[in-house]
Amino acid sequence: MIAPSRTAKQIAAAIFAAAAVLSAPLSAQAAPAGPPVKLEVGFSPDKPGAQTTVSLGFTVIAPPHTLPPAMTRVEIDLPAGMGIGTTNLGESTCTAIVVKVFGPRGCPSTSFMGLGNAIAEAQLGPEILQEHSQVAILMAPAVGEHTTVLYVAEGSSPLAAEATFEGELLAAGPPYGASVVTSVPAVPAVPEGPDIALVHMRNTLGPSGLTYFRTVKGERIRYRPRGMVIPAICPANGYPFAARFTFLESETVAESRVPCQHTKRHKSKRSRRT
Amino acid sequence: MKPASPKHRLYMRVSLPLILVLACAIWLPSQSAASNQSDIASTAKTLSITESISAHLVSHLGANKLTERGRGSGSLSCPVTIAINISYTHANVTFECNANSGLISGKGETTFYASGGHAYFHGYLTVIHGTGRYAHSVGSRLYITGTARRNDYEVSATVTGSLSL
Repeated sequence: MIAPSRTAKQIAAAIFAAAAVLSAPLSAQAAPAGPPVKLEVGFSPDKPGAQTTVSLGFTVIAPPHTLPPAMTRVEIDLPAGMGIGTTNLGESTCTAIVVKVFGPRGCPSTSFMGLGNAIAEAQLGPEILQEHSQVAILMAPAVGEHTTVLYVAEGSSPLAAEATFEGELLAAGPPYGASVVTSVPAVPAVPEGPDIALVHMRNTLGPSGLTYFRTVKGERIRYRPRGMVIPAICPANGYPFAARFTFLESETVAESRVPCQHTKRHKSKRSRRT
Repeated sequence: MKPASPKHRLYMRVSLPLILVLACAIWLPSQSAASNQSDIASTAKTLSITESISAHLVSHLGANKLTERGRGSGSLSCPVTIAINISYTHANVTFECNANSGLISGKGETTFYASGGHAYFHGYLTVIHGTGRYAHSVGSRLYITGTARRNDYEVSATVTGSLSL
């Protein structure tokens, strides 16, 4: 074996040193940890191979009487093996302009893909006010060849306000199939005051609570859209979901799973044992 | 003229054969490659393809694996079977075109996105097998673009490109 010369050792050391110097700014760029966020997910009905309504929810956990930082972006990773394109959720599209003029009720029934609610908090003087909103998820025209949805939040109390933001379905690496990436617009509670903070959201994506209408030979027919199908084979630890929440200067990652349902056979074996 | 020194003579004796060997090494492969290319050019035919396909759903496995059957019209005008495995943002496509003069099958990957009542896809297909006239066909950049109606999975697509027969 040829022993490395002193020069070769020096070159190797220099390469390692350069690599260390180059990698240092990358690690320094990682955003500081944001406030903890609880991610809640579920399927209803929860049966492998069946059509379902996916429920997605998150809650930002902040100390009492403290306004958490404003959320600027949410990325929610969905499990692989599912898909929106093969459902008929959002058979029509609705645009932000129609929503702005007529509200979500101005959109076709067939553009609704899900429903939900949200809570935002705003600092007004020493007080923190909570704004409760109803959320509608609508199919929007595709942006840049990405399936695009509109989130419309209509505030009911204490303010009657409306916010619309867009989410795009982008590719995600395994074990996820795609990521819904949503930029949350900054809305100051008062001019030049701190932004309103989105602290809770719970949405459904699927046929639950939705009724579509179509006209056939002059007759208005109501029907339910098809939901996403749960993959027939459940991954080892359940169907994985993950979310990255970006705040003004920090980031939080949360994960959750929908546990696998035991088949009737498994249940009966277990019950026989007990 | 000054006679060559023994050192110079030794240099000439070593370097001349080396130059000759190197020249042969460069010239011979280029000659054989040129002759191979002219052989291919004389035997291979290129078929330019523009095929419009309409297909309907015949079976499905779950909601994401669809088998469609239909007909192409254009350069090949063949009955077509397409299997599409759809994810959120992309689809894997395999196809079989059973023309009078032979069969061509292939596969590819496309982008996939939904917008209202239709889903859209486009990407490239590669020929992986052929029989009859297409037994030795090669095509790796067959561009497919199309739409799928989301309420009944009716597919319309166009395939363009060239096949080397």
